[in-house]
Amino acid sequence: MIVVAKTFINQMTKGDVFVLAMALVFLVILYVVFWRVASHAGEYIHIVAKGGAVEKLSLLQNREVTIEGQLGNSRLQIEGGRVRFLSSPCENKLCIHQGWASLSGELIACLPNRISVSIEGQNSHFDTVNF
Amino acid sequence: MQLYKNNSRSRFYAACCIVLVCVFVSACDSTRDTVYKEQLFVFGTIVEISIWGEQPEKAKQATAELAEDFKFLHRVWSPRARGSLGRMNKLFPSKLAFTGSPSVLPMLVKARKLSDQSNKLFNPAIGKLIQLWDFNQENQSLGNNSQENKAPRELPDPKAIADLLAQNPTMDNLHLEGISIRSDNTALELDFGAIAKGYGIDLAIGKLREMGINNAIINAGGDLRAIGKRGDRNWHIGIRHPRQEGMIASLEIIKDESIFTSGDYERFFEYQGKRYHHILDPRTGYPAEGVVSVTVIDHDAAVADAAATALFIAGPAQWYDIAKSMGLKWVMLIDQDMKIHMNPAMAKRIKFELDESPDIKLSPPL
Amino acid sequence: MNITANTVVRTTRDDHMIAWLTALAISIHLLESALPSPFPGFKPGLANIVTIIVLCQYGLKMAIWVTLLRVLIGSLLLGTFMSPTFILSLSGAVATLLMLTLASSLSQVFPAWAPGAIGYSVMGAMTHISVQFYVAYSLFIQHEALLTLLPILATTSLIFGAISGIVAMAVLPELEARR
Repeated sequence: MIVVAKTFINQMTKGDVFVLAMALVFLVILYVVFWRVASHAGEYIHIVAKGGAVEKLSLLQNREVTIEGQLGNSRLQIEGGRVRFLSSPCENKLCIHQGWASLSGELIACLPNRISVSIEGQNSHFDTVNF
Repeated sequence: MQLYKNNSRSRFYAACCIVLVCVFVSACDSTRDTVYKEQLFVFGTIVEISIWGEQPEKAKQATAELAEDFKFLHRVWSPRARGSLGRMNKLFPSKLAFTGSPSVLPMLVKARKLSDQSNKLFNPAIGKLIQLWDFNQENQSLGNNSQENKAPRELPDPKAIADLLAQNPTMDNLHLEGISIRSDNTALELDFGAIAKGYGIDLAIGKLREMGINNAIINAGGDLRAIGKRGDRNWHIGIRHPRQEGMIASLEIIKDESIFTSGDYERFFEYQGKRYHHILDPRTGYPAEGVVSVTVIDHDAAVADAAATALFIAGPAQWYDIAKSMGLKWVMLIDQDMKIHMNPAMAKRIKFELDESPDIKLSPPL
Repeated sequence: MNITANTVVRTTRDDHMIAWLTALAISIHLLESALPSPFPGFKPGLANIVTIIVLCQYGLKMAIWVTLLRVLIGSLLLGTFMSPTFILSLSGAVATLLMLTLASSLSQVFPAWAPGAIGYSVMGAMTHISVQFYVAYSLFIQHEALLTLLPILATTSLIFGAISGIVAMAVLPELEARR
């Protein structure tokens, strides 16, 4: 068996080794490019406040964040790949009534406090959402 | 291993192959995802602009220009602000002829036609009734802290509603000669809330096209028009569930289409356990009943906007006739029992995103 | 050059061999199509053993003939002619042949770097899977989740490409001896 393997290896040319090496490099690149993206498959949220201040947060990490808006501070809750407004200084609380958003393309916002939270990701479900 | 006898020929083949590989690689490269997305707090809502396949600088500049346009339109189209429409609304009760504003007249003419086609269910002349209910878009948009969207705790005075209904202001009360306009009804006040968003989006899309941008979405507070594609695939739009989290359905945009949804969940208040939403039936003076939401797809955003409102008011019994007279092609109406009414063409292109199959009632073809 | 009744068409031993090899390639092609696969048209590609053998033994022109005939006749026999499966097969085969052309031309220019059977086989397999996947993704199934499958498919391809190459290396001396 070993003898057979040895004859094969001896028969291989410099070109063969080169091709095999290139193929392996190609494979590594494929894994890096397509599997790294996949591990990010959970999307991230993109927060725009006061017409500019931008923050990008992962949806995978459960946490609460405070965002400063035009009227005051709004609190966002990120949990289990979803995001919602927990509290907001606005009067009608429509932003809280919007509930959870989880799919990329979705957008929740507090108009009076000038805060918008959009969900984006590599595995985009939707380019935009109609409601 | 002699594969070729001729060395120069093999060089030629090698060159050909390298060129082909380069073409292939560059073709791959050009299909890379490059969507520029920006959210603007303008036009009394959030306007989300997505642009595909342009340099970021160009997209940014286009977005900035659109933001200015939307701010301008919001001022001139506000029914009671100090803009063009506010001025016209102040002059109508005089019954005298005056010069209409060029930033309002084209939309007014279009709104009049759509109002006729919708059998007056879409009626932009009932501004006074809308003020009475005070779902006030104005306060909601201006971002003035304390006055932000004050929903009335009480219902409007039934007598005031009855009075306005008796005077029955419609677009027929307007007499337009050239650019001179007068109203023969003192109760007439224009409120383009059910078409302005669509008309504004149409203008913005026109502007993008002038700038050479042909792949984009403009989504103003959930209502949108999309043109072109996202690379080699169509724009994919989710339609949010009116009662739950997540989507009820999704669909793809073919070339250039608008999707508008009118729903009872958009602006409402609750009074004694009952929900009062912002879509008023001009025949009763009260919020239209029996419908949760209406989604309309049309090439023209202004038509889709007015139609979504008109069909919401028409309800499950009448939507089909009104849709036909407005020349619509794709309609979906969800009634209060969550039953989905739609025409066959709509059923064909919509994809439901629900766990269980919905209760669907198909109409005859439109 | 008219072939009249008197003309005797002489076939060489090589002609016979190519006919046999084409038939063999088609047989492998048919057998493989019975295997389950993640998408229609994706299979181990053992029929490429024949392509590589023909390439090394009879040259590029013959390899192109054998491969294209295999794809065409195989699809006719399977009833997939002009179907997505056929388009996938053909695009993979054409891309592979282009790659082999490139490699064999380059090895003329740089003889020291000329690959052998296993080199040709592996580069063919990698080209085949990449192009086939690209075509499948852009023409038929545009689901981004599919992209995560590509590394696995490419790994499988590398393994089967190497196996094909080793088989070809084992067969080639035998063939040479009987020529």
